[in-house]
Amino acid sequence: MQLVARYKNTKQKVQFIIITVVSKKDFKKALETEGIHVVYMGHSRLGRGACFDVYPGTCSFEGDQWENGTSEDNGLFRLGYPYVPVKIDDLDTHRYTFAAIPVENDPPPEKDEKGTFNWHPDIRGKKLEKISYKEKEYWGVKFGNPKKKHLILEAGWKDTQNKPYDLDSVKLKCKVFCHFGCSSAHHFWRIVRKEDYRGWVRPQPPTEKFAYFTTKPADYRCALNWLFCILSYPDKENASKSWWESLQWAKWKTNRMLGEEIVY
Amino acid sequence: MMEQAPYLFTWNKVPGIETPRVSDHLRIIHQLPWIQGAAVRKSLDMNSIILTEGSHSIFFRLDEERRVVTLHLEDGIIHEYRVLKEKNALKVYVTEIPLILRELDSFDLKSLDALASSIIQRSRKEAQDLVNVLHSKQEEEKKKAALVLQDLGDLAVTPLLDTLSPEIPKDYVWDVVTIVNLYLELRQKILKELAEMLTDPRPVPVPELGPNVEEQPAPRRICDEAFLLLRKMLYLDENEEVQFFNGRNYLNMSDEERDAEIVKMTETKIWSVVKGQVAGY
Repeated sequence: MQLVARYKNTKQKVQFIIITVVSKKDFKKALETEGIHVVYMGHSRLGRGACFDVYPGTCSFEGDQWENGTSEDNGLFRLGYPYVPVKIDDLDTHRYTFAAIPVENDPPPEKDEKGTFNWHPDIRGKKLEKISYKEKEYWGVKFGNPKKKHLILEAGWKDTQNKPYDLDSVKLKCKVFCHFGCSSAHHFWRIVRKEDYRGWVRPQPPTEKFAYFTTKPADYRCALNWLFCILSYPDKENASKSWWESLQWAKWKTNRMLGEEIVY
Repeated sequence: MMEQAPYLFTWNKVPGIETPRVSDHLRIIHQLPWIQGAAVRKSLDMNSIILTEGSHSIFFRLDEERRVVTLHLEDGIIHEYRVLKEKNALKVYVTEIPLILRELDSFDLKSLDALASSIIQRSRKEAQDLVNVLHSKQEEEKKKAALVLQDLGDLAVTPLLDTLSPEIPKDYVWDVVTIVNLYLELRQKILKELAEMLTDPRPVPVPELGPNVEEQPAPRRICDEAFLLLRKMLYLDENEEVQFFNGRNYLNMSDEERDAEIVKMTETKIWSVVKGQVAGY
């Protein structure tokens, strides 16, 4: 945990204290800290969650820090649907231990007994097929433009391989949670917000439980523009008000700033 | 003049204490590196400021009415600046939008917002004057204002919408009918453009994201963008989430599969209605 900056906006009458965390353990702590604004800037791991590593100056491209982790410092904090398609390129690139479903087992059910989707939206309605990978056959699917082979991995947000580093194991007390990894709205919005899943619902009138996501592949500019907009919310006293107005302004303005760069 | 017009210099302070301001403006905004060591002088009639360096020469000219200053560059391009008389001093302001944009930093949100507000205010001012006449008791002028407003197209929509007065049913309904008609005219123009885009298979350049971004944007063609935008305009029963998921699924398809989806849409009933509505299509 590292204090990065203090910034006082006299017009807002707000002092911002910015702290960075790089480990899975500290991220969980941040989500459980009452009243703070948590911004995640990093990978979505193709729909599995937020991913961490304590960065020692070099970044290892291979190993379990890209999936379940090797300690409380690294690996996934899981936020996704129970079954997520992961392109084989990712397995080859990062060479982590993965939980695919061998064809000897039944294919994973698209919905649970209550009718809630288990499958990630990208594969719904598709027919699973047998895909060979490293001399074994797993359930998978080919899709995308161009079409790529994906294996279905066990992922999830509840009772996962990474427990207690999953959404269900966290007492979410932060006031704002932003996940600015790639397409996080597609991967996690329902999981975070909907009653069928975690059900972290913003009350009416909006005073807490704010959450923001991205709709497209995203890089560092998304989180930085967001932070810039939050800090520079213009000329208005904001210390004793609901954060709603300033957050909505930041959403609107960040989208325009990203639109200027035509980021899809 | 726009409220956000940046101040450049005062006419009688150049040459003089404001010469560096002018030099910086010419060097940075007009990209004239030679200006750094240029000699600066006024013409004999005091209505021109001439800057020379070696074979280079440019000048500012104050017009006879002292309302406009023009900058004459070597390549023949002329830029116009506005002059305001303030306490007997002639103050020169940058008013051309491309020059103002060059002056502004892209992170200076406050100035960019102010510029947008200023443009909105100016562009709607006269339409607003017409709406005020429309809502007045000047019966003859009201009729003329109504005619002009209908010709203004989309420029009239917001001024009308912002000043609706439900108290007088006749005026209220006239205003809303006009708003809807103007909106539909604009919608038809947009639909016509999108219908043309739908047949254009040229690729749109994919934006470059950082090297470590795991998801790369799906390749898109102009017709794909048109398809997704048309769905937003035509399928009002699809909420934002449905549109988003459908859009992502569509972009996950191959070009051939996408083409089939486009064909499928153009065979729907709603598309035949659009075709009928869009004049000339």
